[in-house]
Amino acid sequence: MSASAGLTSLAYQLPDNRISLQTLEREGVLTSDAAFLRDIGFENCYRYDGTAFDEVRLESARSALSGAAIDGTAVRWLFRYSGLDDDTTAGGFAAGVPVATGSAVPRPESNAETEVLERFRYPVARMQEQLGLTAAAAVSLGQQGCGGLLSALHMARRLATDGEAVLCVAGDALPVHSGREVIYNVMTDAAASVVIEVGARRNRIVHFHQQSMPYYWDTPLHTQELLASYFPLAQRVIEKTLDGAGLVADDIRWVVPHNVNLRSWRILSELIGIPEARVWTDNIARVGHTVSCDHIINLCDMESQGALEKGDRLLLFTFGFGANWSCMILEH
Amino acid sequence: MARTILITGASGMFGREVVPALLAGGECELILLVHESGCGVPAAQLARDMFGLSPEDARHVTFVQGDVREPGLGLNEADHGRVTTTVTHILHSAAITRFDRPLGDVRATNVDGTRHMVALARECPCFEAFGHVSSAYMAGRRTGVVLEDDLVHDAGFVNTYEQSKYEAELYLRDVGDLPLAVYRLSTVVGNSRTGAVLNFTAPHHAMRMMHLGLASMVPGSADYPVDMIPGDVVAEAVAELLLHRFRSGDVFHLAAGPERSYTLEQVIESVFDTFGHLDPEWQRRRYPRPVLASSDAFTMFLDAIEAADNPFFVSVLRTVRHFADQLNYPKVFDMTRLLDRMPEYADRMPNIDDYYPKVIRYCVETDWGRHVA
Repeated sequence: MSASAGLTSLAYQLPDNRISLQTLEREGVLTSDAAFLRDIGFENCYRYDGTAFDEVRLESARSALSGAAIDGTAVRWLFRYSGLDDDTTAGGFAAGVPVATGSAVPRPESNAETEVLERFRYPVARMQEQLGLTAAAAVSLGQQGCGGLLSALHMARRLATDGEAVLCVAGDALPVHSGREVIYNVMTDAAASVVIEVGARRNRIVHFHQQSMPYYWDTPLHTQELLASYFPLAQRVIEKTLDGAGLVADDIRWVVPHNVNLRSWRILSELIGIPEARVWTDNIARVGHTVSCDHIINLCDMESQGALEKGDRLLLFTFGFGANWSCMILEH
Repeated sequence: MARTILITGASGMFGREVVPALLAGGECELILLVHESGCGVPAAQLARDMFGLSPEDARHVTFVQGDVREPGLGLNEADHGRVTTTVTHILHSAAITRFDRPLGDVRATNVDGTRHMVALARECPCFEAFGHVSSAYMAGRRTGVVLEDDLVHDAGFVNTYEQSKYEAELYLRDVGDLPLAVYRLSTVVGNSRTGAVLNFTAPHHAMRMMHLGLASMVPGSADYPVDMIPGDVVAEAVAELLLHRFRSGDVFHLAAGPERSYTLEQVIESVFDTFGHLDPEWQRRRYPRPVLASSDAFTMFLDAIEAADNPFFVSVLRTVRHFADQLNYPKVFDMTRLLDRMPEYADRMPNIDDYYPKVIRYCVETDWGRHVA
């Protein structure tokens, strides 16, 4: 592990289809009134209407690699994260993964054995092949909800070595006709990618802390308890992360949020003693809440808008079903 | 001379403790004012069921049907005649103790009810003493040390209960023609010996929320002194003050005092520790302790829940909302006058450590009164 590992390149990809709250309400995919959701900060979501969302993930990965200006062979690890369990369909992981083309050998006739073999057509391996990461070990991560990408970054930090990078690719798309609201948050589809390298000159990972609460694993059953636990554990995890980094709330220039509703951020900012003005909430209205990409989307946009200066300490916080509460501090 | 004591609010948390305490404290006959629901049941059975009295003690207890909200308490002519000709003492503890009721309703019982009791006392030719059970929290949003002499303030109130108890005391202050004393109780939580809770109130509901893993935040600071008192000890003290040490004009705080109390943080620790000891399965869930939040954060949290119209949380927090705000106003109830009159009170009041875990255990084992044997 290197203490100086950081996020050298970040990129994200949103689907083309941007949908207003009114439209979502008309479609009957919201639980709350659109007016209420607007009141707590939301305006839109992005919805992926296609059938091959991995192409969106790939696009973000190519952008991140391009931004890092590294050769694909420098990537030692590829992490592909999905917060939605995509092994629940009859086809296993392979469902929706396009078949390979260009092979010199013909595809065998379908039989009992090939039906089993179909299940071993891994999306992460296809992604590795598509990106040309010939030196990488490709691993799929999942099932940490909105906390998964921060966990992946933390693992990448521990695995990164001099001259070898880690690429984390995350993204999720809800089924087209599914509900678009989860506990007062409007959900958006997105993909995001990050290159982690040792000796990064920006976005150095200072500290990470995560608390998991496995009792809450059955999310629908424990929704009310999760709601009640959200703030106590958020406060505790943020305080532990600050302590672990040897920092106090005043040292933090920006809180980079997961894009949950504004009202919950107002409460949490009061609890952690960081003024609401230092929580970067611009994207709650513009983008909505993604399963795993909020922090990367926000960091990219903060940078492009000139909100970040070298040396700024950034506090990234998220909660994921499962359940886990995670916090990471970066030094820009 | 034989004493006859009319007691209101005998079915409440304090009332059920004070009835046996009065019977133990000296020769007296008790007349208990009860609502309609208590009538029709033989007095001896009612006395045994409500107060655990022996047949011998039950012989000294009778019941009359009435309602403090009505002039003359709504007594029928026969009961009115019996009460006014025999009563020498009144212990008035009937009150709406819920914190979420409209002020008009609460006033009707807690203020007008007091007026009606005073009016009745004036009709009693043998009258000797009127004991009014008030609340130390009539101090409302005051902070710091509250003296027993203190009454009038403009700090405001956290809930309608506090306001009504304040208004009742204001009224009593100007009653000059009756021998009258005021006993301001702190928060009664249970019996010091058994932990039994005879009436589950907002602090018990808050404890239940913690047990259900639904306590998100509590307003106040970690070192806020939470003054709680055991019903039996305070009932014995009031019985002694009324029967043997009565002086008109007395106003006493019956509290625990900071040295015998937990801080807010210690209350939460005690509750979680006791839950964990009682039930390893509960412990395994690792519910987080609630955040000690600023008033602003707590208010935003409650507003967010109401705006989200989450029916489950709205119902859970309805009662808590009306008392938790008191935790933003730390105060200490001075007991100088009480300890002058009753020095042994300090020794009788147990440390919170000695009995609060029993109260928690009782709450858990009865599922907050749902499974009382």
